[in-house]
Amino acid sequence: MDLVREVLDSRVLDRAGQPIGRVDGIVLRLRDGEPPVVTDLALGGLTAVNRLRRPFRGVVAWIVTRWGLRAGRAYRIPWSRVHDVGIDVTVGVDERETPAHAWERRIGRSIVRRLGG
Amino acid sequence: MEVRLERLVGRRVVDRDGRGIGHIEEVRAEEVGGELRVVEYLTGTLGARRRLMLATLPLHAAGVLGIPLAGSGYRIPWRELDLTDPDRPRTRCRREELPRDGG
Repeated sequence: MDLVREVLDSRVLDRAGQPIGRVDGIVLRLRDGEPPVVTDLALGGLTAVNRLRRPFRGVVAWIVTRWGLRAGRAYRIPWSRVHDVGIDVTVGVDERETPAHAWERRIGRSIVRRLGG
Repeated sequence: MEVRLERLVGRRVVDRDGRGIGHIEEVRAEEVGGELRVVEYLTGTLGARRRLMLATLPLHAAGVLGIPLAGSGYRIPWRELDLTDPDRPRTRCRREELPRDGG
């Protein structure tokens, strides 16, 4: 498997086939005398921003966190929960468990409140 | 120790003598016993060609298209890449000891 071509930046689907984000990062664990292993996929947070080179990384990170576009830690999915790697990466999580869903609920409540509902 | 793969991509690699051997373009892994283990790192245009699915393109066709031909990338086995400093990866061997682009 070619991790950059086949996994990095791929769209991630939950067990129901719903998109929950993109693979912004891949976590490797280094081990003495043994090959590194893939432990997690990282979605969201500042993962994508941290791929930029300095000084752009710091500037963009400040902008996106200042305006609340992205915040906090990336959402990690253990490699053991990856079911399939194809055009998309399918994982064994429910979309409702993910920060993407939490963000949508928050936005939805905010909109409903403003509408007086 | 954790290393983020996306931070390795594009990093310049040097050999044990400090000579450049390209930038990490691809990381190949295989599933063994439920683990996804890194097998090798590809540098130079070898990795880029694989990402563009051009690795099996006949060499003469690649030449016509202006794509660099064999010999411009290295395959670094996992045990030969020292990631003690992930921002400055270096091999434990000399570049002459590394397999070159074989397609």
